[in-house]
Amino acid sequence: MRISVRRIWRRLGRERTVHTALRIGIGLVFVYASLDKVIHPDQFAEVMQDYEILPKTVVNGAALWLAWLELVIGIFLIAGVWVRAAALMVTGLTVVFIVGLSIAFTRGVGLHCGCFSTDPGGDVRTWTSLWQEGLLLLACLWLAIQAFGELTRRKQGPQKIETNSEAVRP
Amino acid sequence: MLKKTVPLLVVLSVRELPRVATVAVVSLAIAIAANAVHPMQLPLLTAKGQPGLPRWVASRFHAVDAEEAMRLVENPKVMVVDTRDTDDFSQQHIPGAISLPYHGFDEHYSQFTASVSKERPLLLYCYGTDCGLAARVAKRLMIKGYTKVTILRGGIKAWEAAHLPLETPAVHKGE
Repeated sequence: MRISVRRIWRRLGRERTVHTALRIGIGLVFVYASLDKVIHPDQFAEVMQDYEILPKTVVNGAALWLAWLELVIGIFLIAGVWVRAAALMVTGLTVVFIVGLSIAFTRGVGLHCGCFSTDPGGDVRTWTSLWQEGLLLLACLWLAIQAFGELTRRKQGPQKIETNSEAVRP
Repeated sequence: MLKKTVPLLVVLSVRELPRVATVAVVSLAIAIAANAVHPMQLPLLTAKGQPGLPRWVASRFHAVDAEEAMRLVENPKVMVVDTRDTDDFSQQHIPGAISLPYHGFDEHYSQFTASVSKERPLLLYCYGTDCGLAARVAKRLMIKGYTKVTILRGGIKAWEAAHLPLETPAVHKGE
């Protein structure tokens, strides 16, 4: 029996359990990542400042917003509300995090990742942080593709039936 | 298949934009509301000063220039605190200063608090105008209960520029 990777991929993509597990898993990661930032917004602003990407003027506002954005999107994913929009947003946010980490690595600035903790003594930025974010991005992309794929199939479905019905029309 | 799917995904993504915008705006509104009642309430925009400094902290400590700082250093009641990394402190520091680095604050704090009472006036400094480490340490000390906190504006660079004395520990003098 031949094992087709494509077939397994398609099967997993259609599997409701996998989709739900991925959605809740990513939601939990975002909620967990946001908690320390929501509790200590001042320390998160310091971490953001150390990245030296945003102008000082807007760092406080951006730190506050980002912490709550992560929490709200995480809750939406866990609850299964507006999943497509939430999937798009987690994918976008993860891309932003990867760009931020890459800039910090290139410039050699900032000591703390700020990924899951705002404590200056912990969560030190390493290459592992970038790998973690890369894996998270893959998971987010898959979730987004699954969420939209379901809708795409729904949209494409009636067209096919219509074409077939035209074909059999005398 | 792919030719049809990709444009469809793009169209569907664009259709999600109103929801994306709603989540973004709702999150911003919650962030502003939560900040208003948070004990470490931050100014949303910082025209001047350091990011991450709560309003109550920023309003309670003041900054002095190098000459004023010199007068404070000469006062034996004032404890001078170096917030730079320990390596930099061990190379050169303001006379009489003790080290309480921002990077490693928690490890050094217990030793610091054992020797410095909370009523004692403190003069904090870091590398330069924009380093911000002194303000960060000042915040942490004020949260712990230190009330008389002053910062040297311009850090050790301003001190050097004013040709004020620096202390070089014996181990580095021969180098």
